[in-house]
Amino acid sequence: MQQSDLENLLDTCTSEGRRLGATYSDLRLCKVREQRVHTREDKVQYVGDNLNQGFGVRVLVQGTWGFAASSNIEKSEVQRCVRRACEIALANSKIQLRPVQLSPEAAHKAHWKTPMKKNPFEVPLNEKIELLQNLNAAAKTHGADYCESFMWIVNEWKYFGSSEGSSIVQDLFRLWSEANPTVVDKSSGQFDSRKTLTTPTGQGYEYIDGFPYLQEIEKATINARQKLKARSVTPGKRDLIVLPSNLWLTIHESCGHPTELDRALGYEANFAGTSFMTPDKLGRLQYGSELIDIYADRTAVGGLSTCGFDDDGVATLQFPIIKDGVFVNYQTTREQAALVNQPHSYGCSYADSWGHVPLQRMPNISLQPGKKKLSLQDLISGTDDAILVIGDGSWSIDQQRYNFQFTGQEFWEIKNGRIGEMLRDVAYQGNTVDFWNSCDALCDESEYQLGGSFFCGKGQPCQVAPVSHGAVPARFRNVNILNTRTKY
Amino acid sequence: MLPRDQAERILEKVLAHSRAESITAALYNTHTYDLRFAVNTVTTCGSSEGASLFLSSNFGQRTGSVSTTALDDASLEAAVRRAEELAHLAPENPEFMPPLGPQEYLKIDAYDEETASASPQYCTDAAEKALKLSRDREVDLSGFFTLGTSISHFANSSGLRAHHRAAQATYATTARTRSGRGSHKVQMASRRLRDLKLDELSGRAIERAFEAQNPVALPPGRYPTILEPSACADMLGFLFMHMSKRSADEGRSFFSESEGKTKLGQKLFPDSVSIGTDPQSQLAPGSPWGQDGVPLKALTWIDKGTLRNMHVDRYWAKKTNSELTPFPTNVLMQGGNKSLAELIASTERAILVTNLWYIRDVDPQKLLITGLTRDGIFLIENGKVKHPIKNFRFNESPAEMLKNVVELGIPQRAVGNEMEQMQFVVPALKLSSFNFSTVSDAV
Repeated sequence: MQQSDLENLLDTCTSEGRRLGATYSDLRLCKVREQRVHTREDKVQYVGDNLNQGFGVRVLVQGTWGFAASSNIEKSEVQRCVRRACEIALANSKIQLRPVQLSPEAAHKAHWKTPMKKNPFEVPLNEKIELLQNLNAAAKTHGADYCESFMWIVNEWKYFGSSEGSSIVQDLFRLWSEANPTVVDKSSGQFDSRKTLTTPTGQGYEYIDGFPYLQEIEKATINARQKLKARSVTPGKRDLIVLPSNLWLTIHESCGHPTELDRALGYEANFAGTSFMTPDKLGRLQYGSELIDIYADRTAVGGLSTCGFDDDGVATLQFPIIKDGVFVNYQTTREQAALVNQPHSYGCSYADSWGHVPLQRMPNISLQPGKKKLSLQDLISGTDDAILVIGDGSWSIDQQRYNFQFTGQEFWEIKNGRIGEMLRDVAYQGNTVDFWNSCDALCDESEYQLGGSFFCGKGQPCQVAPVSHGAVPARFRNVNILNTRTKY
Repeated sequence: MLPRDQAERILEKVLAHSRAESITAALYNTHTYDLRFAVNTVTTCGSSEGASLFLSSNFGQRTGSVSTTALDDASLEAAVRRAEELAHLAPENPEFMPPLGPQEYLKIDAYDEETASASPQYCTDAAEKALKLSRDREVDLSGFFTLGTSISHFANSSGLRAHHRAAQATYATTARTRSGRGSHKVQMASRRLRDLKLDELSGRAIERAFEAQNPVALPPGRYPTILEPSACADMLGFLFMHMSKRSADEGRSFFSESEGKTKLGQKLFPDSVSIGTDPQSQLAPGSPWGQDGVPLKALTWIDKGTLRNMHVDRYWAKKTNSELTPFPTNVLMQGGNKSLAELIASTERAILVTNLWYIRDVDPQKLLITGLTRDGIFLIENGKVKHPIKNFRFNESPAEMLKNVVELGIPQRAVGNEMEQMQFVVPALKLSSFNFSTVSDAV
């Protein structure tokens, strides 16, 4: 669509909203294109292109939100949706306790695009299929009985315009490709798998080009075979060295979610849960050891939630969540900022489609590198007895974010400063504040890596959001280890 | 919503545009209205209407798939051309199955006009009654009231045509005491809006939130346990996710045995455990068809403790000469004739679990899953609920759970926290043992 077409639709939204008493309105028009390829062994199971387009309008009438959305992008449909949104807002205003107040934000007129070198949609499809088939074939060569792999690329194009004068076009790209070899010992009936340590990312196809997939699939398959014969872990308290490929998910669950302001205020009590990090703890809670700095950043290069403006039209920024181990900030939207006396929003509004209402969603939240020079090799060398945790596996955490349990892809014993034998059946379980306060070593920035997910779930109806988390290898003392086969 | 004749015209246009050897097309038209409130005030609400076309074009064993929400004539033709382009680029898939010919489907009464046409004002009025209770009882009430209508149309070049419409109203509500020390969640769904009494459901949540206040910590371990229907539904949902015959045949499932055998036909659970599916269930209607338009029918999966069926797709059914068994859209577990109160009254000592949360696979070999209890967990002693206890993390297998069934309650419509895509009619389960791994401080 041309800019003038978009602004005409925005004019329709704004004028119809004003006519019906809306003090604020916005129009968000989305065109999300996806391409997916799924394979297993030598078979291509799915090749598909998807286009999901439509628009949503939000209005504030008598201080109450109304929202209506449609996949039919027509001027008359925009008018109908504005009327519907105003009807909803008016009906619900009688059960609204406090009128919504939006924090101030300048009107922006801007275009923003994910920085990338190679548009993944311009890469020939057969090149993508060939990569996946080569991975599956390599897995078989190295001893896998089965191997599934996929590539998933997304272009989220969206327009945001508001009655306050913003008019913003954004063109966001992300991709994810992974393979998962499985080995089966038919005589014993045992099986295991180890997925590749690739990560979804907010980059172009240069990520795929630059990742050593064939080396990684060889390693993954060998590891899967090793896991079948690995020693089952002895449960008890152990020190851990957790690599970024696993720690990103622990950060996501134990820091990202509890510092969402809507959860802390009870807005997610009926689904995603509340948070132990209540507003009275802001500036007071010693969340982690003094080594721990965790920052939110929707401007991070390669981040999955990285963009120029959030779905309230707020310019994105970096801000601290945990500073020197102390809880210092919540993630906020325009509606929420005043509730914790923030002068402006931190730009954390996001809706996963045209058909859903924007909510407070997680920005990229990352553990900052240690300030002292320390490589992973140095960290291992300086550790007498621990378990090395590589890759994310199973994850679960309670609805207030205290009690968590994670597994991984690989576990190795560390003895006297060296990596020893492989372990299996490992899960680590802990309490968020105890865990982060037990951190006594962080590697430096040379070891920093991003992990992430396409599927952070929250809200009713449930929405999924893409988000990244950076980390460095970190050591945690005295963590509870379960054996998932014998003592759990 | 698109009128039926207009939707069918769109599908016929798609088929007419096709130059492929065969084509399958489906059009899904949905309308939802959601009202959400939290901490006793309305938060996010809205209505959304969309129509999505899904099509697959086939040349020999090559398939390309496209979906789009752009339904004008030019976009329809472009979608067909793109699917054909992708099909030409795709390698041959030896697992390709050609489109099905005309099928006979069960008649399923899953629609309700009142649910489909309720106004925002109706929903607000219903929520207001629930919120009045929360003000009167001085608790923080949250809720999600959603009305959804979906119309599905299916067509292919082999002459198969199908149409189905469904409506569903769902209400989930959580009451939290002002002290922050008691919480309870109640949720229910029905195709008939009139079945959902928001004030009654919220009243139950409020009463039990007070009962759940000030929980006492019990040491982790194995305890006799009663799972209420919502918790039972979540556990059974995970069981079904793992009941793939192909995975079992390939040796990578809990249901695998050594040397390529499976547990199919084995007596795994007590006689009291029988689980089936029936798309025509009045309480929880399922879909008339599954993947590729395969008809869904009533089926017994576990019969008096014996594993009778696992899901099998068209390719694997043909390759292994097995019965085609689509993944179910509803799960119906037989029960006993005791109410929950009667089950409790006949229990000497047990944990009473109302809701589960954040369940994830841990070890597929053992079918071990983990998760947490949430929003109300109690100790039963001498036939009575003695006091609330702190939440637990559990590590347990749904198969182990079914092995430990000692008694069942009356089956009822249940909505879990994890399995939105499946409908459940299940009983409360009294278990001889359930494994609670650690205590959680969450309320």
